[in-house]
Amino acid sequence: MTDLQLWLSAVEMGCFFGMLALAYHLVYVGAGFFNFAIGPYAMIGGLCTSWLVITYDLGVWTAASISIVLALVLSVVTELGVVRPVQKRSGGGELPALVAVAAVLFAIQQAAGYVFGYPTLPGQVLVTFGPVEVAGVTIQPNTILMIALGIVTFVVTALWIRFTRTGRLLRAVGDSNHAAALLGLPVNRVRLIAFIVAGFIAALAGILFAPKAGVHSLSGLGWSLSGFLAMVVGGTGSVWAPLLGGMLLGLVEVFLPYYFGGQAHVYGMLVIALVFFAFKPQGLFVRTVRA
Amino acid sequence: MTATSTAAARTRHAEPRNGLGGLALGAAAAVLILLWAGSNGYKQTLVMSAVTYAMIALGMYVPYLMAGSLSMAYSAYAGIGGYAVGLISTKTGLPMIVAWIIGPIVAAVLAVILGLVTSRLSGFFLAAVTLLFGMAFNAFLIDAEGISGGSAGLGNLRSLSLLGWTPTPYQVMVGSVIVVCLTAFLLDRMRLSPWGVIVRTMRDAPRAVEAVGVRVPVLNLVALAIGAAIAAIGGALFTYSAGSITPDTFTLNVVFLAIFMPLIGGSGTPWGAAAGAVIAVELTLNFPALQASGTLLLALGVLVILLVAPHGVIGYADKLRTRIWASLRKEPHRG
Amino acid sequence: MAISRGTTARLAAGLAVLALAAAGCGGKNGGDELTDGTATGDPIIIGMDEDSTGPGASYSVIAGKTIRLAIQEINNKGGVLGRPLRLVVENDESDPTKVPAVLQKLQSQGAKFLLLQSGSAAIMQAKSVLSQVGLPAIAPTGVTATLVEPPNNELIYMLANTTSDWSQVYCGAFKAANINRLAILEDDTTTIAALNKALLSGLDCVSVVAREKGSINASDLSAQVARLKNAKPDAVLVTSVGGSFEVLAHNTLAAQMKETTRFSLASIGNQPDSWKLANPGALEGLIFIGSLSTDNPRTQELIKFLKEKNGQDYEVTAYDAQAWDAVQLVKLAIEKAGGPDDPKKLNEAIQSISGYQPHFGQPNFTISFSADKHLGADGLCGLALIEFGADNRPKGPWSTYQPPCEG
Repeated sequence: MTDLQLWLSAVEMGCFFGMLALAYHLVYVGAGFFNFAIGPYAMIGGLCTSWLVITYDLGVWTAASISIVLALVLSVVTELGVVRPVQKRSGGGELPALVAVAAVLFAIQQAAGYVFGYPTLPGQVLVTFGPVEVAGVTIQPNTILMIALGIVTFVVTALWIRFTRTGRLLRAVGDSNHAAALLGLPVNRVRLIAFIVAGFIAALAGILFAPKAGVHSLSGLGWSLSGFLAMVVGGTGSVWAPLLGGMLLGLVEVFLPYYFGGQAHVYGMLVIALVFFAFKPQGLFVRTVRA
Repeated sequence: MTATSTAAARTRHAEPRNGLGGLALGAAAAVLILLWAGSNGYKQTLVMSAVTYAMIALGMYVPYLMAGSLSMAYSAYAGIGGYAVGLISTKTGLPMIVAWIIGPIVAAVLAVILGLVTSRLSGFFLAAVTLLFGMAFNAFLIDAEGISGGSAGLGNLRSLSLLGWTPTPYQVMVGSVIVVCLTAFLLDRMRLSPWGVIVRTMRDAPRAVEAVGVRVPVLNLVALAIGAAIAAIGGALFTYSAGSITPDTFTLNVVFLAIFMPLIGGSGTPWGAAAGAVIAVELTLNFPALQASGTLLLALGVLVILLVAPHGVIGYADKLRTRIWASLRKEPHRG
Repeated sequence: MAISRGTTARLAAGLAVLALAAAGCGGKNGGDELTDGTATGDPIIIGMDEDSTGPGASYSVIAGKTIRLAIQEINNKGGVLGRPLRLVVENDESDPTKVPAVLQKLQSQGAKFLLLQSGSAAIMQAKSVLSQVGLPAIAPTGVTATLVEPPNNELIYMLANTTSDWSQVYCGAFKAANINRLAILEDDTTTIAALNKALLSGLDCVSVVAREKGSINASDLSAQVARLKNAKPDAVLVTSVGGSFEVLAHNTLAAQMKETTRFSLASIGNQPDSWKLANPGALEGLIFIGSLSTDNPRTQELIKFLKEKNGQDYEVTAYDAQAWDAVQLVKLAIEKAGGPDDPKKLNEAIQSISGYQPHFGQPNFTISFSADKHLGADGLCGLALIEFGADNRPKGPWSTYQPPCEG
């Protein structure tokens, strides 16, 4: 494990998975719900940006802004149009909401293919500069942006949760939806905010990661699974937990194939999921004494 | 086909006690479908696709709607059924019929093992693990070239021969449709049997079931095993009629479609899964105006159904029937 | 929980409208935009299984567009035996479970001849279905040798040199460039699995020191490349269906193994869109198997024609030329058979085609079929080794070695 290039790849993927996991984390904290449509939001972010740039010659920043808005709209529609009514009707049962969010995931993928086309599109880099060479390792601009903005996202989110009223509300509501409602806290508004922020982070992650290997309409499902896994591995105890989970997953994605070849990481992901879900579903970071 | 699918849609369990009413309507719909297909090769192929989807959806129906656990490993189970046909045909001299016995058994055993490993999981966790399992199984099929033929899969399969009689494609289609009807009927019976009632109660109140002395984990495993075996039969039927199988034959796309089929058709009865399969095939393969957007329409349709008609097409038709019935007889029926 | 039942219903209605709108714009991939041109008489229906939305879409769409142009051009010039060609199109999304239904549907729409423009897993599945359908078929861009070999090959045909020819070309190249240790990076698709089997059995001129596989949807290949690097090869051969995997492979190889010569199959050269995915300079020095030679006067004509139709920026690829020639061969076969209606006669007519001069390959490259030669290419000179330049575009023939014409 001395090859720096491999570590760089692992950190880059870790940041991406971490951002997706953070999006999961926020929705989970705010709404007690695993939003499997996080991956498709990220896909929309990346794919729509590339499509706008290629088809309409828009500037990258304009295209990225439009894409993020689109992802936010989808996120809001998921909450208001699907999850909330279905949860309300099923009285909190998990299965109907799970099926509903699976339908959302599937529908977004299909719609994206229909609108943006099915082939893989090249990702767009937000800022263009030459590759940087550090200790014999070539770092592409998109890698630098992914890692840097990934960390910035975590810092800003942590500050937001700690120092703003909405952020504190989010934690309060997450502790107990029911108690919060009894106390008269605006549970619905906080849930919505959680979905919006999650949609933003996911879309940004998708835009940043797309230049690495392109993005296509079916990228979302795999990203959803990786993000979910990273969140479970990290745990829900801290805002930084998803980053830890993401980094661990990034290491697995890169080093398992390095040592065991080929598709070892696919088996590795299954084993990690089984071990963590069965023995440590609360993840590595657990929130203590707050109930 | 639209006419027949609405006929199938009316197939709600008319007489809830024995499931015979459902069978009668289901069989009537099946006969209509067979008459519609006739000797037209294209329509026969459509029917075989619908049969495959229906079997996978029926397989998922058992643990999902009866026991309340959403397992998404069904691409793997259907694949096992398909590979059983491929392997028996290309690597052994055994009669082809053996594949239809071995495949479902292997799938059931694997489902039990996976069920044991994941017995503590439910909901989102179970869905994620089983999805990953499906992906890992796919990776295994690609890696294990000596067994599975690798990415190229297995092709050039022998024909089925029962005591010297080789069925024609038409006969295979008729047989497959009968298998679907029988499976749906048996599942319907099972649903209404004391066992089925316990399994469904277990979904809603596992503690209560455990308290009367029934072992919930065992019931859950039985449901998973039955479901996997049914899906494997579906995979085997498709592989046989198409003549080959590759790791990509049964994708996650099929799994998603199979979750949605009972919702489209109606989750109250197994016949709903079959009706949903017919509608899904009609939309994705036989809808002339749509081209590629058939799947999109299906996905959006599922969302609409989830929001306004959670009991699916059959549930909707049944409500209508009950209303008309009630207004005719002035005698309230239970929906 | 302020949301009302009314809101839900409205939203559902909105979704339904959206679905209908989607349905309304459907059919954009159909063949209905073609006209009969100057041809009169009963139309002859050609069926195309085109993957316009699945994993094979990256190349099928390119070929499909040129197939439409070729048919329109034939109709404009009086059609086949005075009759216009009509195209019916179905999409199998390269999904083998859809192939039987798609082929049967094309037949039920009256198709007399099939063009299989899809992923090779799907075409392999199609092979066993063709005998049920009973129609002859051409896979215009197919390169998998097993596709046209027995069993079940009675009705299927391909044009270009297959992978068994490619190994001869590579061996010539490796010898000329003094390469003895080869490392291979491959994707996990059915196409490449079948292709590598044929390719590697012919590559006995080098020792394969490392072989790594990555998922076609991989977002990272640095581990695989690091393993290849550890084996210290003289050259790396990337075998993939192209698209994002291929470019990711070269991005990673360019970063980690800058000094090692890189070879590739044909797909990267045929996918101008995917060149944009590459990091600046990442494709420089990459050598791939091309099929277009600007020395070929027919190729020049085709390039001129396609640039007129598609705009001067259009990057003409081998896919275009093979699609174009496939349609010409269909026309030739129908003319030789005296009509499209007898599939058996049509099949024999294809087998009697000999010395057809295609729009790709070297100037004296020809295509011939016979009862046991379902692969059209005569000799190696349908191929050329092309090198990428620093601008991530093909810069021209590789100076070290070119396949000899009298292969």
